[in-house]
Amino acid sequence: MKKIFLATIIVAFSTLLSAQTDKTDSTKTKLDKKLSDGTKEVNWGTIHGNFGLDAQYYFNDSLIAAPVVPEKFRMNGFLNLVYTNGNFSAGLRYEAYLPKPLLGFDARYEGQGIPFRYASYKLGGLEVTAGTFYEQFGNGLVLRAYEERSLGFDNFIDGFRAKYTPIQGITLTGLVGKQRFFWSWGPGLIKGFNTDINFADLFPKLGEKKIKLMVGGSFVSKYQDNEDIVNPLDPNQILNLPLNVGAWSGRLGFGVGRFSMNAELAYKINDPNRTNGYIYKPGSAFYFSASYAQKGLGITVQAKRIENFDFRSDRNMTGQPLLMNFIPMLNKQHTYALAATIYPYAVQTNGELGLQADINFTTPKWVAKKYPTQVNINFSMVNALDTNITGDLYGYRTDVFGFGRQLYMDANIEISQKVSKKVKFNLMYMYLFIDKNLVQGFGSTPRPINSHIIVADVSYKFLPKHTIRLEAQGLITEQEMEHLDDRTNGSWVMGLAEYTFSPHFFVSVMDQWNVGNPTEDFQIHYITGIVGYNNGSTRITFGYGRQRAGIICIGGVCRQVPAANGFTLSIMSSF
Amino acid sequence: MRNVCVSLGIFFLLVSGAIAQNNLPAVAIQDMKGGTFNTSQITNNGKPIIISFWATWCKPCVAELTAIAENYEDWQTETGVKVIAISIDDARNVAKVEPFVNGKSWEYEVYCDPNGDFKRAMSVNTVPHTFLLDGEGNIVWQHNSYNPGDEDELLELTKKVSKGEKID
Repeated sequence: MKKIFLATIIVAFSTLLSAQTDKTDSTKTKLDKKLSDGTKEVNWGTIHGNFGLDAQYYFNDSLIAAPVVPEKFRMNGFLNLVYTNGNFSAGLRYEAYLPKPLLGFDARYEGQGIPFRYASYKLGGLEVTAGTFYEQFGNGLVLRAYEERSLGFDNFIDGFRAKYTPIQGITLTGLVGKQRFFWSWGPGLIKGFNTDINFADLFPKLGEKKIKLMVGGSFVSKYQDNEDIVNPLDPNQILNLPLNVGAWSGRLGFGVGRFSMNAELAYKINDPNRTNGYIYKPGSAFYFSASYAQKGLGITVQAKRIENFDFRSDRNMTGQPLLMNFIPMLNKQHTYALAATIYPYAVQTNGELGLQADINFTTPKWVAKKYPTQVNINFSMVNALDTNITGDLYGYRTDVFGFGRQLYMDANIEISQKVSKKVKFNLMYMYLFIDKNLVQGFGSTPRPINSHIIVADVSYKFLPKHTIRLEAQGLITEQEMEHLDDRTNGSWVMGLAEYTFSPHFFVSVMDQWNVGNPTEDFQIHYITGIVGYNNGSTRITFGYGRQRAGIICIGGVCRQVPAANGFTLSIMSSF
Repeated sequence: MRNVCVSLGIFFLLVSGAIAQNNLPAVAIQDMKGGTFNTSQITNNGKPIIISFWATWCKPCVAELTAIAENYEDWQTETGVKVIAISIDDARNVAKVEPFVNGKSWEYEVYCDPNGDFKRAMSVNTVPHTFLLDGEGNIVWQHNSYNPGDEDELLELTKKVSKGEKID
């Protein structure tokens, strides 16, 4: 099957290539370039791509509970190639996980091959893609196919897609296909239709008045064959499963002058699946954001309500694979290590209510200072839905504003200040509350944790191209005496020193120390050192260190990362 | 495995006549309010263009754009350059881009690429990734990552490009 597809694509390439070449030759389009001797150069199109390789050599380290890697060496690598000629383009990606994926990536990626390959062309307002593609409808509540390589997340769709723009301002998209499941496809067939209408494009008078109005709607359905699943409430009964599950969403975007708002409401019919315990209650998702922006000041307020909205092309799947949609997290995406990685939030696709407010401002000029201060204040909270179990296959009952147990809260302020041409600093304070068990799926017994995080980040450019940056971080929290087996328990301190020599070199050393762990043996130093070289679009880093076990979350998806100790090599480039 | 090698071989053979990318692909992305924008509309009347891929959560990206912002007027006067900042923030943060840019008082043209379509089309691995285009829209230089002081190199290169000189 795979071979036939590849052969078809290759034939398509060659046919289209020769067709393109013939056309260029015969009609002598303006794409031809005149050479100095007056002859024409054939338009061969352009090719570009990128490459990445992450390799690690592992050592045994029982203190941090690093899994033993008998083969010692593992690597993840990929190469993307994209060929474009006029309105035609084609691409592929080769991936290899040798001999197995790096620790922390799903073991089912083991192997090598070309999972991603496509060809597409544009003809007037029509764009057709055959093969693999990524897509997002609206905010992604009912459909988002995307890749987050650092997490090992990839749920592209393999099939056909057509996009049609009859007139500027209206876009129609239709697609059908199956999703990537490591080296094969998931069992469900996805059909999707989306439309976006932009009134400012349709009626230029609106655009002149700086009024933006956008509406959109999507319908997505999945089909999966019937199977025998035992009724969780009655072991003698087999569930009568819906084979086609449909979901729709409607959107409204509005902007006038400094104000903008965006809202999306999505609904899904009954979709008994493993993540919701095979209940028949329909799901819904609501997302809202409003913002105000003027020079020197920006304010965003966001809210969401998610109920029973885990949507996958396999009703029995859990974890990362075969997700069809994307529920955005509504909390600040932290980047300082202790704020981002010790207690990260994970989206609860089966029920949560969230709020966020975010303010950015630059101190105005009349505040007498040579360099303005930049401030970010952010607040977010997430609660579970308050549910009453009904005891039947409907699952539970809840109210629209049924605020249940608090899952997460984060209040933080970050200040950036340039002191002189040479010195800059960033300061951050954050209060963080998380229910670690409920959020990270360690069980249903609540485990609330309060913590305070402080960060100071100073950089000093002591010579025109030479900069030293120092980072000190602390996370202060109580020791939990009932969780003595937890290697993140208690307070942490962290220090980082980085030296950069623009534009090519950097070296950095970092130590994360679980100084407050109530288990003395776990008061471990996680030390890493990295040297790196940049040149143009190539970046090479080499490091040695201890990687802490934990959860890494990027872009709304999280994964468990086991501890590791060893050398790392990373090469990335694009052309 | 053989199958993979053969396909790769044929692909290379087919495209061996193709030259490396030197101008912008046409991709439908969004303006900061969610309206449509096609990257083929990126122009600067024959003057150089800097395209910077960034995200609100990316500290080095913000440091780079802030460093350029401090002298952006001088850069524009000297070279006529226009900076276009492409945010790759996804649905989680895309609504914050416009308030963020205003909060920072940046004067750039900013567009959003929430599902990475333009990022993929430009073969960008990670942010920050900065491209320099000459007056004809050809990509003449690119750089991944940002270290303090990199903006000085970028300014030198932009000056060269604005004078029509070649970059090695």
